Amino acid sequence: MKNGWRNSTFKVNFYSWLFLLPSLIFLTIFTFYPILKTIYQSFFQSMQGEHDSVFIGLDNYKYLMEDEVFWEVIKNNIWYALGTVPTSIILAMMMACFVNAKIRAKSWIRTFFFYPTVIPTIAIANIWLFIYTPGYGLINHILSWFGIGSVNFLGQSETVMAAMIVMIVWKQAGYFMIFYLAGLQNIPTNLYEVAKIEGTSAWNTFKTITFPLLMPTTLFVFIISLTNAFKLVDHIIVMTQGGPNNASNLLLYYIYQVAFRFWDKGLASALTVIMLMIMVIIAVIQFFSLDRKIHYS
Amino acid sequence: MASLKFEDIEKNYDDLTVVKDLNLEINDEEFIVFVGPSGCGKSTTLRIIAGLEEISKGNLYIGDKSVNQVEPKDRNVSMVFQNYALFPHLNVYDNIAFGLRARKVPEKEIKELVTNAAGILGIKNLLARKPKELSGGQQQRVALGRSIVRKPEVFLMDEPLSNLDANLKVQMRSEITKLHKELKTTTIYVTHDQIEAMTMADRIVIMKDGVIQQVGTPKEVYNYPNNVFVGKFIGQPAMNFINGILKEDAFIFGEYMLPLPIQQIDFLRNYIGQELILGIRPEDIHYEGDYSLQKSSLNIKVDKVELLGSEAYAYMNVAGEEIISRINPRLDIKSQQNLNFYFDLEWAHFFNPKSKNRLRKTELKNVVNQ
Repeated sequence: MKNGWRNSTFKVNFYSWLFLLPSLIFLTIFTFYPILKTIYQSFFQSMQGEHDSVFIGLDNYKYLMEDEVFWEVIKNNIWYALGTVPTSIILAMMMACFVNAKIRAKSWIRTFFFYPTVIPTIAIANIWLFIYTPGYGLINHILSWFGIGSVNFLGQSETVMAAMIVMIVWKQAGYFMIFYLAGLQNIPTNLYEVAKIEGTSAWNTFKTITFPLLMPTTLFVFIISLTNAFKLVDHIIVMTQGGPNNASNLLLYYIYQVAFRFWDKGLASALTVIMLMIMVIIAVIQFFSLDRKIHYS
Repeated sequence: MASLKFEDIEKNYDDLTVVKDLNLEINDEEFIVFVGPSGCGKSTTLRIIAGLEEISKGNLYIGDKSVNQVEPKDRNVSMVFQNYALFPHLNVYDNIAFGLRARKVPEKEIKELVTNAAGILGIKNLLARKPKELSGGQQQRVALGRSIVRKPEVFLMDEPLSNLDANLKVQMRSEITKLHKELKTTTIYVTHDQIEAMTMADRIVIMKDGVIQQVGTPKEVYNYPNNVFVGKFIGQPAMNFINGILKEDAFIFGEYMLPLPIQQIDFLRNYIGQELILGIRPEDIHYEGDYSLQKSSLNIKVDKVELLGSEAYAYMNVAGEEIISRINPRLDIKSQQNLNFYFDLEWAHFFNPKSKNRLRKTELKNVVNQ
C-alpha cells in the first residue's frame, strides 16, 4: 500500500517536471545560467584575450563607485526614465481616450498613432537624425523661419538627452496606446451611462471611473516603460554613441562599451549585476506596493 | 414623483426602426412594466426615458415638461441595470453615494442618506465591502440603493432580476414591489419575463417589434388579450390557439366540433362561415368538468403529462395543433390515454386569422355597418 502511494506521487511529480522541462531548459540556458555566470564573473578581473582571470573580490564594484562615467550614466538614465515614463504613459492614455471616443476617421487616427511602433529601430533613428540635423534638418529649418540660428541637438550635451527623450516618447506612446485602448474597451459602458444619469462631469467621470479602472493597464505600461528606459541601446549606437562627452550614455550602452570596446568582462559583469538589481527593485515595487492598491476586475 | 407622457415617439437607427408610434401616458406613482421578447424595443424605450438614446420623432414629457432636449442628469431619473453597473473599485457606501457626490451634496448629508437607504434595503452591514465580495442579490440591492438614495422622480429598471437565481428572483420581486409601495416613486420596469410583469405591475405594456400590442392591468391583459401575440406571451403555459371554422352554433376544427355557449353565439353571429382562431387558456380546458360543460367535451388522446408539483399539464394534439390543459396533479393520468376534456368557452376568445386581433363587440359593429 505504502509503496503504491509513493509510486503515484512519484508519477505526479515526474509528469509535472516533464511538462515543465521545455521551458525549464530554455530558462536555464538563457536566463539562470547567464545570471549566475555574470555574478560569478563580476568578482574577477578578466580581460578578453587573457586566459587567466584573477579573483579580485569586490574590486570591480569599488572601481565603479569611484568611476565618474558610471555615475554620469546612472544620472543620465534616471533623467531619461523620468523624461520618458510619465510622458509616454500620459500621452498614451490621452491618445487612447481620444481614439476611443466617437470621432470621425477613428481607424485612421489610430493607425497614425500606432505607426511609429511598427517602423524598424534603425529607420526611426535615421528619421530623427534627419529631423535633428544641424543646418538643414527639419527642426532647424523651421527654426530658421523665425530667425533662430542652427542648433546641433545631438551634438551638445545640454540638448542631446532631451532630443532622445522626445524621440523615444514619439516611438513608444503609440504602442502603449494599444494597451490603454484594450483597457478602455474592457470598462462596461453601463458605468458611463450611470455617470451620465447621475450627472458626473466629464473630468470627474475620468477621475472616478476611467482612471481607476485603467490602473491595471497603467501598472503594466509603467513597468514596461520603466524597464525599457534601462534597456535602450540601439538608438544610442546609431545616433550618438553615448556622446557628446557621455551626455547620452545610458546603462546598457555603457555595459556594451565596457564589454565590447574596452573588453573588460569583469567590469561589464559588475555593471550587469547592478542593472539586474535595478530591475529587481522595480519588480519588488510592483509586487509589494502598487499591486495592492489596484483593483483588478 | 412625476407622470410621463409619450407622444408619437419613434426611434430609428439608420434604416432600422426599433420603436414606432409610441403613445402612452404613465401616471404618477404608477408601477409600469414593459414586457416583450428580446428586440421588441422595450429597453430602447427605457433608455429613451433616461435620455441615453435620442428620440428620432415625437415628444416625451416627464411631469409636464418636454424633455426631448434635456440632458440625462437633468431629468431626475435613476436607472438600475441588468448587470447592476456597480463601480468595481468603489465600496458599497461609495457606490450608493456616487450620484449624491456628483450633485455636490454635503458629506454629512450623504452619510445620513446612504445609511438610511442601506437600512431600507438591509445592506447596512455591507457598506465597507467591494462589489465583488457580494452575492448577486446583494449587488442588486446596492444598485437599488444607488437608485433610491437620490429620491428621483422616476425609477427606471432594465431587467434587474434576470441575473438572479429563481428563489432570489421571487424574493426580490416582492421586495421591489414593497419598496415601490413605500416610496411611491413612478417606476418603469423592463423585463422579458411575463411572470415578473404579472406579479409586479400596476399596468403592463406589451411590446413587439417596436410597437405596443396592449396596455392594461395584469388581469386585463391576461383575460382579454388584444391579439394572438399577447395571448401567447402572457400566461405560462401560453393560451391555446386552434384554427377552425365557425358554424352556426359551433366551432369546427379537424374532426372535432365544439358547441358554443349562448352568449358567444350571439356575439359571433356575423362571423358564421368564416375561418377564425379560437383562443382558450389551459385552465379552461378541464379534465374533471362539471356537468354543465358536458356538451362541449371532446375525446382526445393525451400525448404527455408534465407534473410541476402544484399543478400538471396534459399535452394533446388536435387538428394538427398542440394544446395544453391544466389538470389536477393528483390525478393518475398516463400518456397515450384517450380522455374526455371539457372546453369552457365562456372565457374563450376568437381571433381574426389575418390580423390576429381579438374579435370585439366594436369590431362587430363595424362589420354590421358595412
